[in-house]
Parts: sequence; C-alpha cells; structure tokens
Amino acid sequence: MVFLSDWSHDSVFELWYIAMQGGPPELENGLINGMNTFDCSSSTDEKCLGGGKKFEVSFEAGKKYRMRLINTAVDGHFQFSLDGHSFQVIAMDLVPIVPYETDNLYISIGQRYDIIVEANAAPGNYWLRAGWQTACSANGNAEGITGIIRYDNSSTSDPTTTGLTVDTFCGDEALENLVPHVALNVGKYGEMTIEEVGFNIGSYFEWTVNSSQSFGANVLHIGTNKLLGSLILDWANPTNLRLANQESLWPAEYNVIPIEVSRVLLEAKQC
Amino acid sequence: MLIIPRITHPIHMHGHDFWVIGQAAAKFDASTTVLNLTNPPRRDTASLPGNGYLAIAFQIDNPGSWIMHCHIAWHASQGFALQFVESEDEILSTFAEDTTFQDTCSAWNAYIPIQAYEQDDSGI
Repeated sequence: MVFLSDWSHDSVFELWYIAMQGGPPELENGLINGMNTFDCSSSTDEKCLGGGKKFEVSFEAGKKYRMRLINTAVDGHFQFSLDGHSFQVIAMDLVPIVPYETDNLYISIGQRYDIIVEANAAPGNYWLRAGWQTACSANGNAEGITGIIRYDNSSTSDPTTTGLTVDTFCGDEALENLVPHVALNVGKYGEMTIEEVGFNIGSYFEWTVNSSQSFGANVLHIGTNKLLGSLILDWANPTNLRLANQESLWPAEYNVIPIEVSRVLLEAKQC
Repeated sequence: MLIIPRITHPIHMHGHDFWVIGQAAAKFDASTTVLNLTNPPRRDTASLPGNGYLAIAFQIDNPGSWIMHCHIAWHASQGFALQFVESEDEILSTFAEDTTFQDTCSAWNAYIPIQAYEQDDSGI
C-alpha cells in the first residue's frame, strides 16, 4: 500500500476556520505512507520540528512489484511517477481493468489504483514522486513529496535522478484507458436527473448540489435558512433512524434524492 | 465580489460502484452529448471537471442511504453532498435490528450537553 497525502503542522480543526471563509488553506507538506522530510530552517512555527524521513522501498532487479496507490489528501491532486520506470495500471478503485502501460498516473482524492512495476532499470536509487498538481491547489513543499526506490538497500544516499515534470491537469486518467476486465454494459436506463453544483455564502461558504429542486414528492420543504442543496447532517437524527421512526419526509438539509428500482442515470455539472 | 474558480471536484459515492458514462470540460446537452454505455469505467470516485460535467449511472440493487460527496474535505465540510435513499421500503430489513439506532442516538443526546465542541460544519 502506498498512501499519498498532504500534511499541515496545524490540525484540520484549526484550518477549517480558514477554509470556511471560502479559500482553501495551503498545507505545508505532503506525505508518502505517512513519511517525508521538511525544511524547518526558515519556519517560525514552533510545531515545525524537522527530522523526518523519506518513505523507502527496496527493489530486487528483475522482480515485479504491485503497488496499491490511494490519494488520502484533504485537498491535493497527484501525478504519480517513478523515475526511470514505467508501469502497468491494472485496477481502479478495486475494479480490475485491461492493463495499460504508462509512466505517470493522475490520482484524484479518494481514488485508488493498482500498478505493477518491474525492477528493470539500472541498479541505483530512484525518486518515487507524488507529483503535486499546483494548478489544482497549493502546497508548501510541492516539489518535495517524494520517496526513494533502492536497488541496494544498504545505500543511504539520495537519488540524483530526474523525472516527470508535473503538468497542470486536475482531472482523471483518460476514460478510454479505464476498460474494466469484466465487461458490463449500462443498457437501458429509467430516468436521468441533473444536479447542478453551486455555492452559497451563508454563515460560511457553502457548496450546493441538488439545488435545482427536482425533488421527489416525499421531500419536506421546510423554512430554514439553509439553501436547498447543502447537506447538513444532524448527528442526533441520522437518515436511517428517521426511516426506523417512519419519518421519511426529508427536511431540505438532508438533501435526499429518493430512488426506486430502475436504472438511474445521474449527471452532475458545473455551470 | 467573490470569484469562485470552476475547479475540478472528485465525486465519491458510497454503496455503489458507478459507471462513468461521460466526463468533459464542456457544456452538457442531454440531446447531443454522446454517452458511452458500452463497458464504461466502473469505480466509486470520478472527477467533475471545472466548467464541465460528469455523467454517471448505477443500478438500483443495494437498498440503503448512500451519500455522494466531493472528496475535497473542505468541500464536504461545506455541504457539497447529497444522499440517495435507495429502495426505502427495503432498507430497514437489511438491518438485524433497529435498537442500535435508538441506543446510539440516546447516548449521543446524553453526551451533547457536556461536550466541549459544537458541530461547526456539515458534519460529514
């Protein structure tokens, strides 16, 4: 498993008070399997301690390695690559696909990919790069979110390899490359709903989806100051508890779309 | 004036893998946009491009209350989510019993008056 994430020296509970104003806070660093270094020499933050280590993985020449990648960032888009190596992509979000060869992989937040890389480069040390997409969000160590591949794990020197230059694309791998190994066709579908994404400046910045008010008949519209389309959970009265209590008229802040048997087609768009 | 950039949002759904039948940084037109219904990618997280659309499809075969949300954590906290209540009449029968709801929520309601922090976001 290879976890790719972002990292701040402040807690997300503190950062949330910046985020709720609208603009996302810049996180200082990124981690690979929870590890990375950070230069604290120019930081006045007493929580910046330094002393971290890079994630390292050993390769034995000629062997193949399966890496299971996941983007667990708060707000970061990665273009993953391995200096000196291409690799095969064999699964997306745990769904096996017809393998394809590439030397870099776009991984959006929450996505998982399985890859197979063969240790077929000249023996040495190579950077493993969680390439941070600065076009998507900012990070204080965008070029330094790296790990190390070592063909000789007694080596302690840093790689001197150069690798992929991160581009400016914030989206997914090309759809035509993502062909499920077990083929399933969509066939006929019963209905289509269109959900527009918007925003609202309330007590804080709120995103909205499902604000076109195309609700089913059993949605209760009540007078709150919440704009339709922003989901606000009531931890004391979760959705399934309401069902157990036969309270299936849904207040607007539950942002419910009731669906019944038939294939559903859903589309989200930003206008 | 607040300028909101039309950024990409990774859309994640619980309870289903969905087909990604369309995805582009372009305007969606139900009458002209070509959708791929032949073995499209199946996954549970896909990007909604800025100034664009994401078209997904899934089969109703898993009764439950399933959230779908932007996976940028700030946006989830800012309410960028909806929930499908799927096959409502069948949901409760998928649970062994419902006293867990009542017990957990009773415990929660007893805890709320003494806890130090208030819910200050969407709660997702």
